[in-house]
Amino acid sequence: MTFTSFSFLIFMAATLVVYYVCPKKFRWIILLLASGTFYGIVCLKYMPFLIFTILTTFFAAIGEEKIQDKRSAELKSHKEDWSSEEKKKYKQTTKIQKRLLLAAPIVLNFGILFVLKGYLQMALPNAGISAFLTSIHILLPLGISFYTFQSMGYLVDVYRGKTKAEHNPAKFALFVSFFPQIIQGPIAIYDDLAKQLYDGHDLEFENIKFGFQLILWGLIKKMVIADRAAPILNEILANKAEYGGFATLCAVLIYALQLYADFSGGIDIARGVAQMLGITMAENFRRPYFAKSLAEYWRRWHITLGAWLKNYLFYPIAMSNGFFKLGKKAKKVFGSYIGKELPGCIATLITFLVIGIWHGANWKYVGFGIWNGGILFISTLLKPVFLKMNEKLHIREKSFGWRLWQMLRTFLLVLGGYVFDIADGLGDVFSMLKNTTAGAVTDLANGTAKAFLGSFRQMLMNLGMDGKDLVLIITGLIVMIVVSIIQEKSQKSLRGMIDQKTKWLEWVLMVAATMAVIILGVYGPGIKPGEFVYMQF
Amino acid sequence: MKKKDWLKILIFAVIITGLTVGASFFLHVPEARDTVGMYGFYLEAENSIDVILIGPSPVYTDFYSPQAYEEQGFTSYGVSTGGMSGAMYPSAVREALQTQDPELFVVDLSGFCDIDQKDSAAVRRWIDSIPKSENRTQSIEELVSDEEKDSYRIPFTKYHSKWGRLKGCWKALADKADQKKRGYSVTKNFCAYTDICEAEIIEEVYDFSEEGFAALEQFLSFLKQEGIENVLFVRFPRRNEIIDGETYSKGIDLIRSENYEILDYCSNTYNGHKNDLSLDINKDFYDAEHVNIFGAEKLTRDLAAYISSCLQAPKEERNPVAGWEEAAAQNRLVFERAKELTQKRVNQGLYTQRDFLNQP
Repeated sequence: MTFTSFSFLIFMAATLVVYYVCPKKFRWIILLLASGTFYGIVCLKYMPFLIFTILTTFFAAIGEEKIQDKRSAELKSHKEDWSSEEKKKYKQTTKIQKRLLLAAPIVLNFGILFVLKGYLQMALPNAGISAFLTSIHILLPLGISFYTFQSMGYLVDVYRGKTKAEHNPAKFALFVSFFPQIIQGPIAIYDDLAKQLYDGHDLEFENIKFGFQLILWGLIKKMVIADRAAPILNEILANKAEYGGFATLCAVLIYALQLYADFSGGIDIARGVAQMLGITMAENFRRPYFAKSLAEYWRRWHITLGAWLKNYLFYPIAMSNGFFKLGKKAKKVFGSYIGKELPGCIATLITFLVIGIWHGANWKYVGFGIWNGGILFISTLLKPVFLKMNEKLHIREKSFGWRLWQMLRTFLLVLGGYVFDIADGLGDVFSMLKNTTAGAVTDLANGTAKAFLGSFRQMLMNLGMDGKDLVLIITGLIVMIVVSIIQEKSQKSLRGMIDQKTKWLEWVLMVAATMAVIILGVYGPGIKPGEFVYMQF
Repeated sequence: MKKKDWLKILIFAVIITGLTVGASFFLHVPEARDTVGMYGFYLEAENSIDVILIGPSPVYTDFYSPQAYEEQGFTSYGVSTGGMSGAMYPSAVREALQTQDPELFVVDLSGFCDIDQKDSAAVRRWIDSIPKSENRTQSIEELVSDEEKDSYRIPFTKYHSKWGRLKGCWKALADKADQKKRGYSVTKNFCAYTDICEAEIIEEVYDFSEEGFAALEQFLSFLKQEGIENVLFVRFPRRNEIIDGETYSKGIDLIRSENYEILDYCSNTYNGHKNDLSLDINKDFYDAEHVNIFGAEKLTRDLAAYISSCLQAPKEERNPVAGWEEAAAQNRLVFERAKELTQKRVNQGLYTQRDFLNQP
C-alpha cells in the first residue's frame, strides 16, 4: 500500500471519516491505530524494529528527565551545604549518567540501521552478514531511517532540556509512527509535531481543500511525471555503454527531473494527508533547482534532513572543543578568515560524508558525500578569492544574467552529484562523469547524439510508450517550472494565491488536476504502484 | 464545516464521478477493430445467425459474411478478436449461445498453434470486447491470472492509458454510434488489410503447441458436454508451403475421432481445398497468414458454398433477414474500396463502414 495505490486512497478516506467522527479527545488514538494499521499492512514483519525504537527512545527520554529532575532537586536541596567543588562533581556525575543514557539508545538504534543498511557487510565483507540477514528474510524495514532520525532527534532534545519527555508511550508511538510521514519523511521535530498530533482538530473545509490540492499536486508529480520518466531513465542507464555519452547526459537530466518529482511529490502527498487531518507538517523542498549555490541547494533540498543534521551533527562537531582549538590554530597560521571558517568547513565535510553514507553502503555514496562536502569546503575557503575576481571582472552580482549563471552552475554541480547516485559503483562514477562531459561533446560532433535522438522513438515504443508520453513529461516539466517561478517570485503558496483571487478557477483546476491523475497517471495492471525513490534510503 | 462547504464537496464528487464514468466509457477500447466488430454482434436479432465463426484474425480477414449471405443466403458472424486462442474458444461459443442458436460453428484451427494459450493481450482483447455477463465472469476466472483479475472488474485501471490513442477511441465510438443508429453492422466484423505480400515463399511447419493440443482436448470435451455436434474445423489458407507438424496431425486425428468435419485450405489431404481455392500467392495475400480482399472474395465464395452444403435448409428456402439485405447491398462498395486501396498498396486496416465507404 503505497501513497499512489487505490488501497491507500480507501485507507485515507476511512481514516479521515473515523478521525472526524470520533470525539476530539480520542482522535489521537485514531491516528495511532491508523498508523499502526498502515505500518502493519505495509510491512508487518518489521514492526518489532519500530516498536524497539519507540520503547528504547521513550524510556531513555523518561530516564533523562528523571536524572535532570533529580539533579535539579538535589542541587536545590544542597544549595547551602554543598561546596562549589561538590556541586561540580555531582553535576559531572549526572552528566555522565545522562550521556550514557543518551548514548545507549543512539548506539542501539543507529547500530540496527548500520547493520541493516549493509555497512557492517561493507566493513567486514567476509563475515557473511548480508547472507545471514537474507537467510532470515530480513531486508530494510520501511522508513527505518526516517523514524530513527526523528526519534533520536527527540531524545537529544530531551537530553538538552529543550523538550519535555512524553510520558504516554502510546502518544510517543504516534509521534514516531505517524503514517503520512513514516515512509520518507519529512523528519519532524517533536515540539513542532507532537502537540498537533495529540490535539484533536476540528473539521475545517480549508484544511480538507488545501490538503486535497497538495495531494493532487503530489500525485501529478509522482504518477504523471516521475513514474513516466522512470522507465526511460532505467532503459538508458541499463544500456548506457551502448547509447553513449550524450544519452547518459540525457539520463542524468531525466534523473534530476524524476528524483525531484518523485521525492517532492511523495512529500506533498504526505503533507496533504496530514493537512486534511488538520496537521501542518514541515516543508521539505523549496524549489531546490533555483539555488544559486550548492550550500543554498542543500538548504532547499530535503530541508528537514538538512535541519536534523545541522542540529544534531554539524553544530555538535563545529562547536566542540577540538574544533574550537583547531580554529584558533588555523587563525594563527592562515589568518582570521580561514581560522573562522575552517572548523565549519570540516564539520560540513563530515556532515556530507554522513549524508552520503546514509544513502547506502556503497563507496559511490562516500564519493557523493566528498563531492558535495568537498565543493562546499573549497568554495567557502576560497570565497574571498571569488569575491575579488568578481570585483575585478566588474560582475554585477544582482544582475539577472549573473544570477541565472549562478543557478546554472549550481545545477551542473548538483547533476555531478547525481551521477554518484545513478552510477553502478564508484568506478562507474568516473567513467560516467567523463561520458557526460567529453563523451557527450564527442557524440554531438560525430553524430552519435543525433542517432540516439533518432532511435528515441523506437526506444519509447519498446518501453510501451510513444511520443505522447514524452510530450506529457515535457509539459509536466514546464508546468512545474512555471509553478516554481510563481512561488519563487511571490514566496507564497500558489494554492493560497488562487484561493484569494478567483474561486471558480480553483475548482476548475481541481477538477482538471483530479482528471489528470485519473487519466494520465501511470497505474494499472502490470504496473507496480510506484514505489518512491527515497523509500529505499 | 458549513452546509455550503459540504455541497461544494458533493458537487465536486459528482463532477469527478461523471467525468470518470464518461472517460471510462470513451476510453474502453481494447482494440478499436475488435471493439466495433464485436459490438455489431450484439445488434443482431436473437437467433438470427445461422453460422458462427470462432477464432483469431483469419476469421475476420478471410471470410466476409455479407458476401456469403448474398451468394448462399445464410447469415454468419465471426465471434472473433485478434489473437484469440483455442483456450478462449469455449468462452466464445458460450458468448455466441447467449443470443444465438446457430446451426453450425466454424472453428479456426490456428487458435491451437499458440504456445501461450492465455496470452494476456489476446485475452484482454476478447474479454474486454464482450459486455458484462455470467460468461464474462466465468471467462475471467478461466483465462485471467489472479493479479490481473481486478483490472477486468474495474477496466478503467487498464484503459485510462488509452488517452494517447484517442483517434482509435473516437473511431470506435463513432462506428458504434453508426451501428446503433442503423441497428446493424454493415461489415459484420470483417476487416480488410489493403496490401499485397511479396515475401519469399518458405517452408513452414504448421503445428499445434502442447498447450494448444491440451486446449483442443478441452474444447472437444466442452462441445460434447454442451451437446454441440455441428462443428466445422477449418484450416485457413497460408501463403507459405505448409508442412504438417506431428501434434497437428495428432489433433486432426482426435477431431476426426469425435466425428467433426475438417476443411483444409493449406493442403489437399483430408478434406483439402487448397487446389479448389487456387489463391494467387502474388496477388491474394496480405501476409503469410492472412489473405487480402482478393483472397477473401475467393475464400468466402468457396467456404460459403461448403458451409451451405452443411446446413439443413437449402439456399432457396432461407428467408431474407432484415439488415442483411442492406449489408449485402453495400457489398460492391466495400469490395471496390478495399480492392482499390489494395492495388494502390495503401497499407490500411478497413473495418468500419466509414472506412469502406471512404467517409470521413
